[in-house]
Parts: sequence; structure tokens; C-alpha cells
Amino acid sequence: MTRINVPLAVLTATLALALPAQAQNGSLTRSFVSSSGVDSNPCTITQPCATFAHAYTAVGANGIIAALDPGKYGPLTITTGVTINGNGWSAITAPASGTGIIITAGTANVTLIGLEIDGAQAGYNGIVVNSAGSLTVTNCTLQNFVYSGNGIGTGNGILMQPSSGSLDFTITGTNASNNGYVGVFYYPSSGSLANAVGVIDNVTANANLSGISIDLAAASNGTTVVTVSNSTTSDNTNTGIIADGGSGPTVKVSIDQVSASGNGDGVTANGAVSMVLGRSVITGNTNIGVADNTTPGSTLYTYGDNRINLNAQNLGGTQSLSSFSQQ
Amino acid sequence: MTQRSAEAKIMIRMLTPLALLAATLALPQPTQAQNGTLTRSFVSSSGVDTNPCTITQPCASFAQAYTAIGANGIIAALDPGKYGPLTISTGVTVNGNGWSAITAPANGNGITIEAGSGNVTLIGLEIDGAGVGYDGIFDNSAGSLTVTDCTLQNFHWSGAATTGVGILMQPTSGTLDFTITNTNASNNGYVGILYAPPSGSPNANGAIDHVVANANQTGIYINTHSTTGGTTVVTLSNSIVSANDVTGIWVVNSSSSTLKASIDNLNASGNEAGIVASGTAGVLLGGSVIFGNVTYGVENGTSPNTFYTYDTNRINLNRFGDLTNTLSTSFSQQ
Repeated sequence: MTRINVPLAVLTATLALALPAQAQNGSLTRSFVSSSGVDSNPCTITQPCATFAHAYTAVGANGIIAALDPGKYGPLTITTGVTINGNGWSAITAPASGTGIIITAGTANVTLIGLEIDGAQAGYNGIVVNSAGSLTVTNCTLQNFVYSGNGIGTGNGILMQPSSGSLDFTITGTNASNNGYVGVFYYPSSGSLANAVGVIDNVTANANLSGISIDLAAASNGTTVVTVSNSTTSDNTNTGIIADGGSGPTVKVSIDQVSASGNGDGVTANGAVSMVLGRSVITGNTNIGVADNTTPGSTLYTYGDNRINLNAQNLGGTQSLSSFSQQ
Repeated sequence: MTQRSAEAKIMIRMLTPLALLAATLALPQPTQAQNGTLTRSFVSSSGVDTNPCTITQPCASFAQAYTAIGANGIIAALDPGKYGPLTISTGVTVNGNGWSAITAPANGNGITIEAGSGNVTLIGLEIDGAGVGYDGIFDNSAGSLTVTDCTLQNFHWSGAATTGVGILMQPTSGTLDFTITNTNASNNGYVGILYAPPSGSPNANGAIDHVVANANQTGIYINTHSTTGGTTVVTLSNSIVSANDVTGIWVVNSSSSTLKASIDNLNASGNEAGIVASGTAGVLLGGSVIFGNVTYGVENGTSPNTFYTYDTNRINLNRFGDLTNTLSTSFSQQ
């Protein structure tokens, strides 16, 4: 009620301001959305807006957008540093054949907290990152994205596809399940020289085509270091966790305290990838538990403390596993 | 609470009798001093600082709500909002309920603590520097500091070692017990969590658990190098330090101070260096993954060698090497 009873003078003043769409050039440090907000408001706490897209135009660089109450706040394109705090009660529905949040932020830091981003079996991707200095995704859900049937650019919960620069990504407390292609997907675009340091912790990636994929097959150089820990990948049609090397990049993946069960394959490493595997449970996969296809010699190292049992085939691939000792 | 009842509540707050408002205004209103009488005070996004900060007449800012309580009082946020920076000079609990934001002013801090021996507890706060504030939590003195379910990010480093920090603790005397759990201190220009007394011989007992400290210069830094004495014991557990430009974890002491640090079930990956220790600090390392760092996994500069491993760590695929010096294996699990 109070939010609707905005004095007409204020409303008029607000409308008189320049309001470019989808560009972050406002002056606020924090802007707000509410289910009772309207986009002709200035996006302040007492006069919140209705959409993340509009609230984004109201903040300056490194500003923060927060949701005041449960609601659906619409898709968004991000081009600079920003924090979006959905407080766990904010929904975004990706448009049909579209994306929930598109990030082309250069070297800026983007933080996404407490969002439920849904494809409703019509949207293509939850989050697409073309560029960012850092991406932090915490306490989010990304589900029901549909695969168009070809290429890698659809059906993903989170798709990170930088072509240059260095991306630090941290994905924690997040569920990326029931997507037509990959739950969490790092796939630098063709010929790219991108570097990345990634943390995937306390993530659930179930019932996708593949759960978590670190795929450098198209990249031509750069260094990628990713750790996957305390996470669950289950019931993925192809593979729970897969890493693919390319002809130029350095790729290092650590898997620690992960469960990979009931997938086609549990854990797979292909090509020029170094992978370490410890303290994990890999069971009940319908094809291979751990597939070592690393080249030239085996660079998939186990610490001898995984439980890899009751898979159709526990160990497979072209190589026999290597080992590292704890120290 | 439904939206409708929330709006009804807002209406009630708006309809505060004028007489009561006038009575409130007539009270002395000291700023930033905790000398009120309430045990609990409240803030709300629809509150105003001329209110008495009660649950039915909440205030707008943490700073005003702090003036309304007595020693060891509690401030809670009734709904999502931004409640402003705060200086704390006595024992207090600030419960942001996970939906409370504080933006540090440019070149300033989110929460400044000068609490002597008082106990300070901070819960559920998102404290942001927006690339211009200096520190999230700046603690000069407290009997205890508890930080739970908080986010501290985007603090700006001016080049000084007291800026660009998520949580900075720098007591010069007494004993500080600090507990930092379920907290994210990332994307800060200097350090995520920094314990660095500038002088004196303070003591500290610290626990850092379920913390993420990524993409800072240093993730977690325990530095008693400038002290002339005192004992510091810190445990780091179940935490992640990644993509820090200098080091994931850094532990260093002065020859006249005692420093003991336990690092257990920790992930240090993709930093410049994973873990760095020097001086005479005693370090226990177990159950940890130290992987894919740009230079070394563990730089052990302790002399004599007081960096102990339980032989349960996965220290591999670090680019320059896994260890600069061997770790002591004179401790076994028992």
C-alpha cells in the first residue's frame, strides 16, 4: 500500500530522469525489487522496482540489487560488476529459446545469490558467461533448461564460455539438475586463450545429459584449474563429471569427496587433462565407474581412498589409473 | 508472513500516533553510543530513526538501533533492507537474519568494533565495499568476535595493509576469541580474513570453519609479525581458498610471539601459492587438498621446521613444485 501511494511529484520527477534499458549507469549503490514494485519507481527501498533488469539500470558499477520479498523478477543482461542477492526467494524464468542471466562483464566481478532460474522446458540456459573477472554463484537453483538438439549452447544450467582473460568462478550450495545438456559447463569458445580458476563445492548436478563438464577441446591455450568437492552427480545420462583436454591448454581438475552414482559413466578424463581423485564414492553407474582416456600417458591420479564399486565396469578407458601418495 | 500481512504491518507502523512520535523525539538521542534500556531493538526497511526501535516501531538503521539497547543487547532486522554502517563500542549481537545489507562508505568500514572485552556477534549480514569501501569488519578490540552466515566482498585496497580486507582483526592487548563460520570473504583487494596486531602482545584463540575466501590477494592471513609477545592459536577447517593472487593461507609470527595454526580438510587451489608459513609458527596440516597453485603448494619457511603433516594431504600438480621444503613428519595420527 505504502509503495503504491507514491506522491505524484516524486513519480513525475523519476520519469523525467533518463532511463536507458539494460545499461548499468545509475547512481545508487543498492537498488531493490519487490513483488509490489513497479519499474517507473526509482528502485529504492521505499519505491522498489518490479524487475532485476530495471533495478540494474539504477545502480553504478559494483552496485548491489536485492529482492525485498518473494517474487519473479525476470531475465537480465549484465555488462559490468554487480551483485544480485535474491535472498533465496527470487525467481527468474528464462524466455523460450533464451537465457535467464547473460553476463558479458569484461574483468568485473559478478555475484549471484539465492536465485531460482528456471527454463520451464522452453528456455535454453540458466546463466551464460561470456566474460567476467569473477563469477560467484551461491545458493541458486538452475533447472529445466532444454537442449535444442545440436551444439553446446543450449540445455545448460550454467555455461561459461570465455574467449580470453582470466575467470575465477566459485559455485557453491547450488543445484543444477534436470537440464537437457550439462548442469555446470565450462567450455571456452573456439580458439580461445582463456584462463580459469574454478571452485565447485556443495553442488548437486543430477539428471542432466552430463552433470559437470570441464571441456577445453575447442580452446587453443590457457590454463584451467578446477576443484570439485563435496558434491553429488547422479542419474546423468552420459557422465557425472567429465574433463576434456585440448591440443594447447593446461587443464587440472581435482575431485574430492564427490558422489557419482547411477550415471552412464561416473567420472571421465579425456585427452590432455591432469585429474586427481580422492575420497569419492563412484557406484552403480551403468557403464564405467572411472574412465581414464588421458594422453599421452595416464594423468588421472587416484589417492587409493575412493570407493569405486558395483558399476557395470568399475575402471575403464584406454589407460590404467596412476596414483599419488598423500603427504 | 504473507505479503498482505506485511503490508498491513507497514500500515500500522505508518499510523504511529503523533503523540508517541513526539514523545520519542523529546528523548535524548545520542549517536553511536550504546546506552539505551532495551534488551532487543529492531530495524525494518519501513522503520524510521525517530522511532524507539521496538518491534512495533522499528528504526531504519543499525546505528540508531544500537543506541536503544543496553550492554549485551540484541539488534535484529525484521525484513530485507540496507541498514547502514555501524560503530560498536560494547558487547552486542546484530542479527541480520540473512537479508540485511551494509554498504561501507567510500574509504570507510562496514562495522567498526572497539568493544574492549565485550562480546560481539554478527549474524546474517551482507557487507559490501562496492569497490570503494576499505574494510567490511574492522575489529580493534573485543573479548570475542563471532561472525556467522555473512558475506564480505568488494573492499578496496588503498595500498595500506589496513584496507581492502573482509574481516580485519588487529587487537594490541587482551585476549580475543574469534569464531568465523559459514562466511564468504571474496573479491577483496587485500585479504579475505586478516588477523594482524600492529603492536603489543595480544592473545587470540580463533576458529575459521566453512569459510570461502577466494580472489583476494591473500585468502586468510594470520600475521603476528609485529607483536612483541602473546599467544595465538587458530584452527582453519572445512574451508576453501582459491584464486588468491598472492597466497591462499599465510601464517607468520615474530620470534617473541607464539603462533599455532591447525589446517584441516581445507582446499587451497589455483592461488599464486597455496599455503605459506614462516618464522617459528607451528602448523599442523591434515586432510587437505592443495592443488594447481601457480607457484608452490606449500612454502614452508619455518625454522626450525615446525610445519607438521599427518601424511593425509593431497599436494599435487602445483606448477613450480608441491613443497619448497619438506614438511615434518614427526607427528602421527593416534
